[in-house]
Amino acid sequence: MQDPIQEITHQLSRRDFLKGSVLGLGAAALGSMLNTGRATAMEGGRDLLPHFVPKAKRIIYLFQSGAPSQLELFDYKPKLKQMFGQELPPSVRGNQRLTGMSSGQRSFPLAFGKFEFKQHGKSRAWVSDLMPHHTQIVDEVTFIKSMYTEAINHDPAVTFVQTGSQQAGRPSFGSWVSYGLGSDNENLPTFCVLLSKGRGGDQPLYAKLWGMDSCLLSTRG
Amino acid sequence: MKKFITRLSALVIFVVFSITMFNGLGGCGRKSSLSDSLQATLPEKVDFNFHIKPILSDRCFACHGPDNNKREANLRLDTEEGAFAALDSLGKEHAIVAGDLDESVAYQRIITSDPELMMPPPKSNLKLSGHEVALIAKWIEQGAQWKEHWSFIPPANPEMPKVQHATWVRNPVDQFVLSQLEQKGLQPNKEADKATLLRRVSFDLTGLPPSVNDVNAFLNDQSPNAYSTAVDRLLASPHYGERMAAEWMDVARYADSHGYQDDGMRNSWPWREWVIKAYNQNLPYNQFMTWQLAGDMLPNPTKEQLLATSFNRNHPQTQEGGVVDEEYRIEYVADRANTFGKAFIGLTVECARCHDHKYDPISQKDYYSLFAFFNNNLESGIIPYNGEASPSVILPSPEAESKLKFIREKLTPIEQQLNPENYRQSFESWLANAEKTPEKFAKTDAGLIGWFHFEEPYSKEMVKPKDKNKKKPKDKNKKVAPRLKADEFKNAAGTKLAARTSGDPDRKPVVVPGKTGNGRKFIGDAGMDFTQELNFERNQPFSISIWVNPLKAGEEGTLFAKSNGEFEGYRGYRCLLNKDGSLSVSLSYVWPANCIDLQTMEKLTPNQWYHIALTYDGSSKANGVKIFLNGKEAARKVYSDNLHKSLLHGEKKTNWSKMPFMLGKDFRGSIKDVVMDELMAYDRQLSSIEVKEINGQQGAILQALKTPKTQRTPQQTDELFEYYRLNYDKTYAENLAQATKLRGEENQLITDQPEVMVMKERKEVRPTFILNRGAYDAPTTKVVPNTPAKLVTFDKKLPKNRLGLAKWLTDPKNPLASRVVVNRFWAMCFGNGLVNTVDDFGNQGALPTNPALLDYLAVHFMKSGWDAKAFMKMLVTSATYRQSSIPTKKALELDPDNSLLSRGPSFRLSAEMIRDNALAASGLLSKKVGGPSVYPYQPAGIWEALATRNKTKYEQGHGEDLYRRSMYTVWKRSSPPPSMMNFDAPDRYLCTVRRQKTATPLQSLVLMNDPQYVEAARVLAERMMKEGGATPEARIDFAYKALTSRPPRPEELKLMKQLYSEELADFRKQPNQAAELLSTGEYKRNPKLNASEVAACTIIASTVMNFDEFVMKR
Repeated sequence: MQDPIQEITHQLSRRDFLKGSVLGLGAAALGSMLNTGRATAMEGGRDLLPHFVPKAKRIIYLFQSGAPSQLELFDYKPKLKQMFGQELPPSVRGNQRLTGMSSGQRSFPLAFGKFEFKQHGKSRAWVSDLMPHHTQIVDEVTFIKSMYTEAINHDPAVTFVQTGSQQAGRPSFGSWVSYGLGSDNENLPTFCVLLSKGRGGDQPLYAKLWGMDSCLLSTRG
Repeated sequence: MKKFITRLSALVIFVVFSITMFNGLGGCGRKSSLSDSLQATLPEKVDFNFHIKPILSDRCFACHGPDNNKREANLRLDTEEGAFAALDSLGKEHAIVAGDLDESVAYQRIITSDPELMMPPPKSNLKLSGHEVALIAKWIEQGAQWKEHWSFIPPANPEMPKVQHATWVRNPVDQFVLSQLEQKGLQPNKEADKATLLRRVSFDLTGLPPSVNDVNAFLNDQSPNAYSTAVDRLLASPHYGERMAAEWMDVARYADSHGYQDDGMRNSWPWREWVIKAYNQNLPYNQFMTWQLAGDMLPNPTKEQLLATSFNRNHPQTQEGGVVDEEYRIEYVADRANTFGKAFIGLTVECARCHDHKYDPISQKDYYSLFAFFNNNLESGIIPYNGEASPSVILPSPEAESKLKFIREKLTPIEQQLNPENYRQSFESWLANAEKTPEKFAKTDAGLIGWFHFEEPYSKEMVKPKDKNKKKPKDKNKKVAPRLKADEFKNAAGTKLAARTSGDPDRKPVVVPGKTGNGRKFIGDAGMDFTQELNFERNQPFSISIWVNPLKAGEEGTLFAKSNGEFEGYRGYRCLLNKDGSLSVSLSYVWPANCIDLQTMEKLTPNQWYHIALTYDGSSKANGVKIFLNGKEAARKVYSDNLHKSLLHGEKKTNWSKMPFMLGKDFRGSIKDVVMDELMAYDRQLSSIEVKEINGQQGAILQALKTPKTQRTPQQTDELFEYYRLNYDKTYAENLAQATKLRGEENQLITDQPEVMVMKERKEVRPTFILNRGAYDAPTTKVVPNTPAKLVTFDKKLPKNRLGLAKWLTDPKNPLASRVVVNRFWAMCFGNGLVNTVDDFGNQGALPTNPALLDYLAVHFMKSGWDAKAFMKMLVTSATYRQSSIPTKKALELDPDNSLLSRGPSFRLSAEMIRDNALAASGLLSKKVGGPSVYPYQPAGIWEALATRNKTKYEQGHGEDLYRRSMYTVWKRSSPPPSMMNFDAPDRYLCTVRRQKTATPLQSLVLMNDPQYVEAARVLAERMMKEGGATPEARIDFAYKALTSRPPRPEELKLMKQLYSEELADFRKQPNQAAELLSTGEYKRNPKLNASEVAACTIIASTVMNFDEFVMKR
């Protein structure tokens, strides 16, 4: 058998890292856990080894519910502009299910945001006029345009984005991060969730997303 | 591979080595294949269930288990047949050959060192310990005797084991426990001291601590019956029911809100109250289960039996507008099946939703067969914001009940008078008269409030849409594009009722040839809105007619509706065109149960004009609704005939959405490729001959009147009679007016009465299919209701419904139900079940630590008539229960986890008990039993921060509501009470039989800082001074007795006195701090008591609340 470290390094591509973000973060984070000397080999299990020298010490994760659509921010779709008003072709729609919100609709015209896009920085990233400050830092940012949820409703989709599974009850982002990163403070929760104040009644978050059933209570938010 | 080997204990290497050596020698005379030292650790007789099956299940079943689709090498080790079957077609190779290790291929694969052959495969990360390998070897050598899974074997009443120390035995429980202890060379522990015992049993039976007086009385009672008297007192207390119900709330996943994103509140507390009552009245447990599973299917069910079925509705339900109905309905049904599995038969059936169970003999087919029992509820996947989700039972207050009775008593005779036969005679005289001047009597325009010909042209004029947000400042940059002007339509009836196109202006209905003149073709996403004149209540007779020409087959949607849409359960009336061409008509409060729901048998054919007329007599009965197609009453199926609340609004005249009458569209959907023409609306019931009259057969009345009596067909006479009755009979009109008034009063009253969601079967059984990967939209094979094939057979004589399921469950032959219940009760008293996994009696679950005792209890419980109180009494009066929980050194060594019950139970109290303890000690606790949930203190803004809509504000209660027992604290799923969550309360999304047990610093923070506890401490402080005494000692003594049911020990007293004097000195110096501390909570403080002393006592009380014995049961 090969050196397991090498094997992991080879196996884990960036895509894998992002796809299994929870595991990815866990593995990334475990490194710093090892560095602090707090790690103990998991008995009976395969050692979890980081695939690069870990740098992350803490992770801030913003969940911007109700933000403008990516089509108006950074996901430039010139074809949409061209086909504005035309019916969504079956070749694109495929077997996509409709939500109760749109299943009553009798036509599905294509629409395009009204904001201008330009390319910025060395990466030539497309960013709309809505984010003038972002245009200055595009080279520091990773845009991910391949994320989607299978769920078509808010609850399971938000649950998926927060936990990696659309079924409620799985450990959340914060749980995994603290499971991986560990915590210098053994007495207080290892991560915390800050909720935005402001206009009430538009917060699609629920306590179940960080007070999970199937995770150690010690990694509860 | 290197790593793998080093991981193995030296013992394993030794075993492997010795066995392989032996193989090398030719493998004869296998008797001593195991080393002596290893032999010594093995049981004399290896038992398949206790020693072998757990290993196979955990390490082998994933690939060689019940899952048909994932089975490797066609070998299954979960059945006897599979394990001993030939592995090859020649029948030469066998996985297991009894008594022959050499020939047992499975064994050889386990011990091989070849990674290609090794089982379990190295890449599975599963491995067997040396001890486990040795067990398997010995089992095969001893003849590889196979046994059915322990929990599937019906419990036999075991023989009483022999014991030496018989005087210790108080009841049969002790006999079984003692026998086991003696076998291990252990002695039972001494009895717990009286105060500890009383505290223990008080919490276990009522969830509350004993009062200081209770403790004193018990300590002073020297009679031998003292304890038994105390137990009887506790069992008779109404708080017994609360304690038992509190545990059931987790299992039943009770909550006061629906969960999911919109998380609105539900009215379920009457069910909780019923559970308390059922326990207090000691409803036999088999009935307790039966009522909850199928109370609605019992003969002539009582309201309580209906209410009990709310158990099956406690699962989360979605109100999110965008969901696919069926997707969530399937979730609810699955939840019911899963909960049934966990709560009643102790099996994780949910694993088999997507694939055959990996460990237990539950195939995917078994799962959906079980699922089928729960699949016939008359419900919808998306539930309303306003009104309880269907089906429900209305529970009027006693006051309303008597008013309703009063109205009914007046209404019933009037409704009887409306019987047509009462008007035959007067009809004859009217007819004689009408025949003379028929023209005078052939009119149909009475009550016509709307008549639209739709002759208006399609306007191409463009207008700027009106700004709907007039209050907001206008965004100057925002350019509003002009859109097509709405078309307005003339009402030929000359009333106020008006109509105009609405929806997407670009898609407003277009002008095409109609039935007469112009008609309007609907092209989707738009329709017509009408003004309020067509908002009929259910006591109001009305009629609607329209000409419809569907242009395409398969088109579906709303033809016309006055319905408030999904968010109000489609409240109102609507007429839909179905995909198959049939029509659905419903009048609903909350569809699909609290409504009249009809579907025509006849189907509309495309490209034909149909005259559709709906008439309604105001009776709230399906009989009172008629659908006419081209003047002929259409035959229809009745899906629901159960309309009992308003067509216009919810309780207290509330609405979430209020929609007008619409054509071609509804709350969210629309219809297309349909032409409509000539809408007519009446605020009265049209007779059938009038329907003919307006559908193009003008002159029908005149013709019938003119036909000589002898030549009239019976149908003509009947039609004239109906026409007469509805239009000309004054007595009928008076009676109808009277009935309408009384029905209106009844409607207003009953609409305000609370409802609780319950179960109700659909008339037509909904077929159930195996769902591929558990997905709602992937049905495969059809199944019928049945229980898992490997469990006790579902008797053919039983009905294939929930009632049959309940009978199957509670049949004495069923080995699971009673075992599962007694084990849960046991865990409530002893901290752990005899089967530690109280929620899993399957292959991955724990084995019973004392199987004979478990069987005894299960059989005894059934024989006792499922008497829960007697059972609890037996447990808590046993010598086993009465032992001190402080272990001896030997007991700790030989029985570290107390699975042998060598000592009494000791574990942390539940979240509810801890809070109730503080409230009880302070004297604040309200003893009120039952009732709606309450809103005690909670950190500010928690609900607000987590709510999307519906109930977004936490409105804290006052007075008694702040001090009710914790089981009454409102449970909002998306934002459960944090102080309870910190003490391991589950979130109530799913059935939870076993709470996690944690100890975290957050718990102390709650006890020290939560206003509930600080307030309790300061109120207890006042009691310490008033009831305890003047000295610090007396006060501290009182605090200990109130909070921990015992006096302080000398060293504790010393420390507390020191704390008291320090705090007192501080508070005297800083009276502001004392005042601040004493202002916590809303309970009025006693101004006569010295503030500094109360504050110092508060600190003492609070400190004791953070004391181990406050949170632990010992």
